[in-house]
Amino acid sequence: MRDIAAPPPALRVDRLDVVYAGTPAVRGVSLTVDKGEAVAVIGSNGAGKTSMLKGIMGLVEAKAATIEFDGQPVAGTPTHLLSRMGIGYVPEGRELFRGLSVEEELEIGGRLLDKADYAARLDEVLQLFPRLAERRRQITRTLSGGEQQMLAIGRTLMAGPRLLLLDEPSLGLAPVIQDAVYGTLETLRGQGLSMLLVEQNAYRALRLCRRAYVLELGAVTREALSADLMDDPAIQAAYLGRY
Amino acid sequence: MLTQQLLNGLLASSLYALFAVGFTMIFGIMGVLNMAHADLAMAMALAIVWAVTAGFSPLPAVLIAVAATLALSLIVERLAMRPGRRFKGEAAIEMPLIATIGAGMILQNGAALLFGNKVIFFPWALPAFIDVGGYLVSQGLLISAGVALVLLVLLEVLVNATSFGRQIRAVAQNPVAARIMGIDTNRVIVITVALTAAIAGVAGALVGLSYGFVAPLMGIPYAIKGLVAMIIGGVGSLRGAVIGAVLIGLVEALAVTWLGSQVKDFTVFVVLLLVLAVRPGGLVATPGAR
Amino acid sequence: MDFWTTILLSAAVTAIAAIGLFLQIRSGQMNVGMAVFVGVGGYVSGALGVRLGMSPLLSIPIAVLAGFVFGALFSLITLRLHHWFFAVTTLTLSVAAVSGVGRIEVLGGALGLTGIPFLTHPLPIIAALLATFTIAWWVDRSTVGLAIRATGDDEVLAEVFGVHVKLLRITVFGLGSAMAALSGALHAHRFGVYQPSDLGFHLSMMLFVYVIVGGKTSVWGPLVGTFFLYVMPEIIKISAEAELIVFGLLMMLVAVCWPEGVAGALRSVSDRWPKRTSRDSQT
Repeated sequence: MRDIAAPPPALRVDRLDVVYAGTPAVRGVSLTVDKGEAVAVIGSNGAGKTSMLKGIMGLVEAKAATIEFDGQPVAGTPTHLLSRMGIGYVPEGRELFRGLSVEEELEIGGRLLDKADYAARLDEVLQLFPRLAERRRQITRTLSGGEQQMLAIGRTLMAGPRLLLLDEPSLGLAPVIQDAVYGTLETLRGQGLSMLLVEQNAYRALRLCRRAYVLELGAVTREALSADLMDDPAIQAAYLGRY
Repeated sequence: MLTQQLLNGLLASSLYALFAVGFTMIFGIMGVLNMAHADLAMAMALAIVWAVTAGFSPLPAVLIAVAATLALSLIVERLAMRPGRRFKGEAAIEMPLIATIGAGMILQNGAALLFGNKVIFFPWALPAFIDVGGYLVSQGLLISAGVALVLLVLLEVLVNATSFGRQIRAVAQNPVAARIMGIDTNRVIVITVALTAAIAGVAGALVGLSYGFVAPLMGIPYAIKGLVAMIIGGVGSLRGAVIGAVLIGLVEALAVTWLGSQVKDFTVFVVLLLVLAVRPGGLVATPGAR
Repeated sequence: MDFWTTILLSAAVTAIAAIGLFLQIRSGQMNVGMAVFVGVGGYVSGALGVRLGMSPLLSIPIAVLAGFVFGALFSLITLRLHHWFFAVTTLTLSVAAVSGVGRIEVLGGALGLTGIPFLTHPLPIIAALLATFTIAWWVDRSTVGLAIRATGDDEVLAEVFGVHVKLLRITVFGLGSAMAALSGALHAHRFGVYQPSDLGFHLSMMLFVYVIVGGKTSVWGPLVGTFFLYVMPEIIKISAEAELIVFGLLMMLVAVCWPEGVAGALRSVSDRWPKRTSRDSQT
């Protein structure tokens, strides 16, 4: 039971359904991310992880009993308004603007800030990702995969989100680069940023997050503390094989 | 004689450039053609004719015409282009192409119903030729070129050096990412359409000013030249569109000098085929263009 | 000949070109300059009749062949262009051709050809329409049709499935042009004259409208579209401008909410009806 005085969760999703061309991709998913909490959603390829995030962000048609952000109902809100309300979304495959420079990409993220806030935020982001500072004038298309992922996270942070949705931030990156990206996410978690992290790389996700959901065939099959999941032989066999 | 022809061809190309940048901006941001775009220029020109005939003084007349042109452009966007964003793949390209051809037919023939399908004299005309440094150039075209140059420079600055221009490029390059980053893509598109309509409107008024007459079907040749200029310049590039327009203007001038005015339209086609044969992507390669 | 016979025969001649355009659009080639391909037939057959005194029965087949060759060559040259690139090129061609053909003396220059031998009997026209429709119907229904649809929808996919996309596109475009040329030749021999303006923007647009409004997903589309849009204005009796405004509205309507056109709408209505009666008879 939730204490009345406790703050509302950063994100509460109740019975989310996403249907793609007649086939259900997400079936009745419910989950909660408390303020300052990092939550992982693990599942194999095609389990519906990306569809779930797209459904929350209004990028695909979705039906939900409730989606609450910070206690406010937001189901059906257009994507750009969700972003302006403070939900930062780092999509699978980065989705950068291929023809903009690193600097312009960050400016897009922080364009609603006033001058002083902008400068301060830019400093913070460039401190998190010093590589981006070196490449400020470079066109984003020419960046390496790791740099692109850093920019995708960095430009989202420019807007000062209160909740971060991350889709496969380690996908296609070399282990060393994955370490760097996850190091940054760790820092952000330390700063108290609420996060919902979707990952195939369950080991990394469970190490970062306190709590996790397991998604199979579009439905949540388990919800547990990450530590418990990592000790579970079934989970180890299904998702932590490489570890 | 040749220099003089080339000079006038260059001046005339400024009008083509105004149409070409409109086509290229709309294509860049939405990935579709607005086949009714040049008819907005006709709407502006005829709206001015109507307002002046109705007794308005120049400034109110222009304001009325601008308002009418912008309103028409927004209706075309809403009814003939926006529905296409629901579709995917080929249909997303075809639907606006077909619908805007329909919208163009409505604009052209609506104007013909109201004004008669004939040539109409424009109230403010400067078709006289004046002597500039030993060459005879059209006064109206000289003014047109000046206005066009200013507009094109302003447009380049807007797109490349302002926050709104960054949003335009963002939507053009990746509409989904733009929405994720809090950009209202529909709003950016509507403003861009209105902006290009205003530019087309100015071009329509300049055509009247330069040649002294306008007509319900006057948009068609400008649509073709604007589209061809966009393609040979390289789709999605403002500078490419201007370069394409200048090329068409100069080649037309040469063709008129050497082969007679009848072949003018034919040379545009030849230039298009030649450029596409040599550089299928256009003269200016553009990063991020679809 | 009475009024309605004339209208229906004109519609029949035009429908032949519309069916050709349907095949071209079906193969992913958005031709908005079809009047030029119609004009090849009109000018070739007309010039053979005027200059060499050839009988229409011989000159029309030659014109059809010329249409095929011209279309196939055009398709070959423009093979690399796509969608609206192709559309703009054909549109430009249509306007260019008017000024280009006006310079050719053997084709009568700016005034066009006059004194083309007449062939006004309805029978050849009806036969030509039936033949065109049958061929197009067969092409559309056969495995060739399946392959065309594949190229129209997704070229990469078609390449994967082993359809020789390029050859198919060229052949189908040539076939459509041959039909257009047949239509142009029949028109030339019907009226005895052929002019540069016959190649222009107006006919190109109208043919495009007939196919789109009729429906570009079935060979019935161009047929229904052409006859419908020929007959409808004569019944409601409106001015030429008002007629084109109605056509423009239909284009927008079809584009937004009726992608299969009038023929598709008719079919869905007729599907609903007989189905119920046949079910009734079965039970």
